[in-house]
Amino acid sequence: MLPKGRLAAEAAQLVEAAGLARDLDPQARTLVHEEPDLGIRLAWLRPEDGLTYAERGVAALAFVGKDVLLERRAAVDEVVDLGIGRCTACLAVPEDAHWPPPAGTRLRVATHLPRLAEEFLRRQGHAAEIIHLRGSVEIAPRLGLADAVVDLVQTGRTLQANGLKVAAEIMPITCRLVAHPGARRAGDPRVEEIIERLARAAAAVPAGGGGSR
Amino acid sequence: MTELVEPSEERRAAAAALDVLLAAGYRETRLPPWLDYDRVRDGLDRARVDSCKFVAPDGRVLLLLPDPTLGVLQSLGGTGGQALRVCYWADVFRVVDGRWTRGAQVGAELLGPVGLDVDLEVVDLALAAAAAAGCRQVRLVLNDAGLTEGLCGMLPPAEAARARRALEAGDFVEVREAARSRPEVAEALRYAGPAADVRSRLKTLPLPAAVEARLAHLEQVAAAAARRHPAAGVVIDAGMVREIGYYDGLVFQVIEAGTGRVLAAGGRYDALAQAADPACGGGVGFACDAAALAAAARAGGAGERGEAPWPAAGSR
Repeated sequence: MLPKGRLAAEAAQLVEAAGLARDLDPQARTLVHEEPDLGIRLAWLRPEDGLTYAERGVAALAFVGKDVLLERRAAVDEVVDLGIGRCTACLAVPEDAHWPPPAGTRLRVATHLPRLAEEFLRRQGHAAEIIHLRGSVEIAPRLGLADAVVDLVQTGRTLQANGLKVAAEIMPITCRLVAHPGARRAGDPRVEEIIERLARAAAAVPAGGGGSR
Repeated sequence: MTELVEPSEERRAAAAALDVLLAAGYRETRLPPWLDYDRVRDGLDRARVDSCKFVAPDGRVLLLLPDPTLGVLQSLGGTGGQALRVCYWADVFRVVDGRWTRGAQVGAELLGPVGLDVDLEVVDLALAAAAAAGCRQVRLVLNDAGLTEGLCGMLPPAEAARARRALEAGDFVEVREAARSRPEVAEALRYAGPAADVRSRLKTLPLPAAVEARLAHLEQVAAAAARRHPAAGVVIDAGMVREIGYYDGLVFQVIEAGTGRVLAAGGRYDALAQAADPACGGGVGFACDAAALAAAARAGGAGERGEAPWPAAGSR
């Protein structure tokens, strides 16, 4: 399962570099790509849905962001750090806000990563109300919904454009290759070969990588 | 995996599995519908099962039966130092994703003797029970708690602790990070495959004698199971850790080829058995999930659509 969206182009490059497919087109209307010579079938899906396919054993392997894995805690095995989609989960506050806040402050934090945010704030000793949003969390402070946000940051330009600054880096995030535990144990040499090829291709991916988020 | 199977299919699969156990001389025992929390707390914590608790009128905290092995140990009282072979068909209640669930399990426990023959007997029964229920294409996955612990123990203490936590989460990327000083240990924990391949990958690692003994034991179980069930692929997976729970020796699963659906799971739990009955040498057992057996049997034992979800190796 390959990820649609912002990771698609990098994922296609990686799969091709691993020699697992040729001429992959993430924009194609046909979401399934067959590689009969290798005996594999690739499908483009939202990463969350790719994880569901892998969790239920319908797909052997899937590309899924670490952020999605942390939120879902699905019963899959993370086998390779693919090194693509590199960004940082950050806590961001308005540019004029002080961090950390005065003791006893109860924060409202908007995020699409509620588990990650809650755990981070608890570890830091901050009381917080977590407000779960699906996207565009960076506008929540400006519109008065939240005092801070937890979001994925690549360059920081989106935060800056919305009057926010990074107050704390929570953890680096990359795209992972996950395997259904049964697939890893199935004894199918192709699964092992795909894992090893992608691991080699990922090792050649330069650190950094580029989005504009 | 939640399956929609008819109750009659589930009962048929469970009955077929139970018949195998009865024919092997295991005595059917009726498990208590609930357990006393204070008596099973330790085992329950190690099993990491979320249970459905309630308070009885006399103030005791009770649990709807969350784990059949704990039920067997509580209901038997003691073994009197004798070998006991018991089997059961029971409803098991757990909290999964915040919701109470009920599922039927059929299983067997062999209390008292310890050794290769005993482990083989139980693994053989688990494979036979799955086959009797109609599951044709299965794999046997083996591990030993001592093998995993021994491999982690080859790392410095802080790295070993980090690797153990990562294994619990199924995060082999983090295991590799934790074991940077010994990447071959990380690879040994990640790779799951036939016994010969596992041995080959471990040949560069000087295994401590205790770990070597555990691996040799697994190889013997794998070889015997392959002889007795030639259609079942046998795999050793030293990274199969989330399933260890209270097991302290052999750990195994019978999974459906293709989907990886767990049909039966079990292992050796000597410390737990001895805690329940100091006269008991140890315990080993397994349980089959009746719904999983029925779903696999309905699909012909090879996945929900009657075939492996990814192309078969021969189609390459």
